[in-house]
Amino acid sequence: MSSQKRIAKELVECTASPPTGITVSLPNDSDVHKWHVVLDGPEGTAYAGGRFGLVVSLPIEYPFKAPAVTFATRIYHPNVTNDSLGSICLGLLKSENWKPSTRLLSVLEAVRNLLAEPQPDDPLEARIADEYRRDRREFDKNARSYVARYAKGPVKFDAPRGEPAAGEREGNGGDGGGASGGRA
Amino acid sequence: MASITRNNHLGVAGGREVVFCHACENEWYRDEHGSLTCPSCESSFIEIVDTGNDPRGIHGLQTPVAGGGSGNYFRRPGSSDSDPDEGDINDHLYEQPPGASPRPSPFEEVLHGARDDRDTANMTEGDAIMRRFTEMLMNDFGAVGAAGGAPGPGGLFPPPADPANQTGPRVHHTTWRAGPFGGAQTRVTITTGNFGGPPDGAAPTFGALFGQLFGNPLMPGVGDPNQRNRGGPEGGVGLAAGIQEILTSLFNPASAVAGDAVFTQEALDRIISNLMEASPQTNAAPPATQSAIDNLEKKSLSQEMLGTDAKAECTICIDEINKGDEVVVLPCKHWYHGECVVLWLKEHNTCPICRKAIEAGINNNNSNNNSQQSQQPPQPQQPHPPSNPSPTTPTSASVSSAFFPFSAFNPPTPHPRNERSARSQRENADRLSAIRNLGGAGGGADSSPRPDAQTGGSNSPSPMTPPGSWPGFTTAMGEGAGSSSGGNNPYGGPWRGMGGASGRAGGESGEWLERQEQQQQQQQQQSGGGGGPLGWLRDHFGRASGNGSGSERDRRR
Repeated sequence: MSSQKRIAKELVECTASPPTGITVSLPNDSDVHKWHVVLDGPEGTAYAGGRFGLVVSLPIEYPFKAPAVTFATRIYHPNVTNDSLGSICLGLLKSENWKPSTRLLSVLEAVRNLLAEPQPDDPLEARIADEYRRDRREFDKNARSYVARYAKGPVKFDAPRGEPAAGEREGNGGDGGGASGGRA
Repeated sequence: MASITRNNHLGVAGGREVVFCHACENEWYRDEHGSLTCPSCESSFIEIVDTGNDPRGIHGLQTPVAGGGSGNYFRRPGSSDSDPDEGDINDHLYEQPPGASPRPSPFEEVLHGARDDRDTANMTEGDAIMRRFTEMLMNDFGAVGAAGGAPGPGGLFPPPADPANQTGPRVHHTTWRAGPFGGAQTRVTITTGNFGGPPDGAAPTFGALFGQLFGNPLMPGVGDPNQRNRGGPEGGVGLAAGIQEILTSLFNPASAVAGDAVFTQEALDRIISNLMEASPQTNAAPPATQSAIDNLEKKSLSQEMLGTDAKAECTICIDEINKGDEVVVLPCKHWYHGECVVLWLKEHNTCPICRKAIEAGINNNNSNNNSQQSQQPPQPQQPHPPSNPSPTTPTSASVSSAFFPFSAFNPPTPHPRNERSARSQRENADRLSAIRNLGGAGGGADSSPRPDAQTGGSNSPSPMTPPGSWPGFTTAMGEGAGSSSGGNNPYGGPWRGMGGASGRAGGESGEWLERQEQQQQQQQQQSGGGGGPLGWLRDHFGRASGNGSGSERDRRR
């Protein structure tokens, strides 16, 4: 399968010279289609100090189909669904934007870049995006509290993360529109 | 007919022949007046009246018709009818055997021009609305549930019990005249009775239930309680639960779906999500035609194409391509392994690097694509720069009218969102059409139907789909052909812009809808008696089952 060859190459590329704050591992050595990535919260952001798990699922058709990237660690972010799915709104990964010449390294860096610079104009969580725009201090506070609650310690990739606490889901209002991004 | 009272007429029954003059409407006993001409007007246009043929009614001399009016087309209990034979029907219905209760036809609900002040005189407009709502529920649901019930233990024809403890179903007819248009009249058939439960279990019936629900004695004159409060517990509870469900779906913001209409952002989200799941791929570029693939230029990699590097790699498989290897060169001069690029082109007709279409002219008329794919992002000559601020007013106003068929209301003033609007007019139109389609509110006049709802970013101008100046872009992104040095972050600049442009769709329009909805609700409460809401409710309530869409969304989340 040609996709495995490319994936293997990309994996080598990501592990041999890992980019800043990104650690790639395979949960199952025999399956290169599933990556576990640990993302360090970029310094200088509300996510600094947090370690976020990303699950990258590469379709069989990769690189002709976009990989699916989701947060395994809960994160308070305008472009990541505030639920157990952790869908990410990343235009790069949308089917209509995906190009086979895009590499996973670029994808991962794009995700990390998203942490550094949220895109409130393209939200998955409208309420959080609103807060990000209007009350950055409050947003930072909430984001930090999420980091403290979820993103410390060893990263869990597939452990059940429980139900969201009361009130956390109130920002899901803008979900529907932005969800198109999360699907990519 | 013989039983009709002859208040103003000579009796026929006494064995004497009565003669009637059609000219002057005089009547007399034949034996009192010998000749067959009218004694008063001398006309010979006369007729002998007998019991089977009484011409006198034709002239309106008979018993005055009730309602005094033009619209006496239908049966109404308690009043005479234009068809005297039908008057007996109600009598039979009251004692009908179980399981045979009639379902009132929708056609019995007749808009009636005549106004009956008896009912409307002391009713406020709000009462009128709730009354109308109630009667609608009963018409559409109550009788169905009743008819579906199993016959009671009393058998098909229970022995007539005393009126206070009867087990059979009862049918009660009530005429409402509280229409939102001032004169609408509806006849309601309420069927209550014992559907499988003990006869003595008194359960809340419709009237009582709605009285409780609305905290309002809405049902004066529905009938005396002795007649109604005989429903068995099972039937009563089941119906009550059903109605409660309906009300919940109406008033609970979490599942405010009625047919094709949604009332809340959350409900809209569900629909959008479902539609997206149904067609996840439709916004991507269409496959290239086989002829286009066959016509691609093949050549061996020359030093000129390699530039200064000794070798290059195919960006699809990241395998090396050495000088002299055969490559396929796309019209945009990007080249790849033939097999690699063909695999891609069979799914999307654009260059994997720069997204330029491989088929000439495909961007202008897309003749080989279906309508879903006729609005594709990869258009090199895209007329809208990403930062183009666009008017948001048309979308807002149109969505409002499409979603809220309360025609009596004016669309609320759209919220200016110019600081966030980066969509062009055409994208607005596209999105609007998508929203209309998924809302089931009728097709947009300007756009082809798009069953997919992936409006977010589908047509957004994106740096990833660079306009004419693609070479600069690809270089900037470190993905140019032959560039194997892409180690540093290529997405800092352009990627941000892309994120801003794509997928704003639902979030923004959702907020609009939400606000507009709130305004609509306020208006509705204020204006109270407008004809729109109830008419709409009546039209859509029959399809109020569309609530199942939530489960998928829940599962997804």
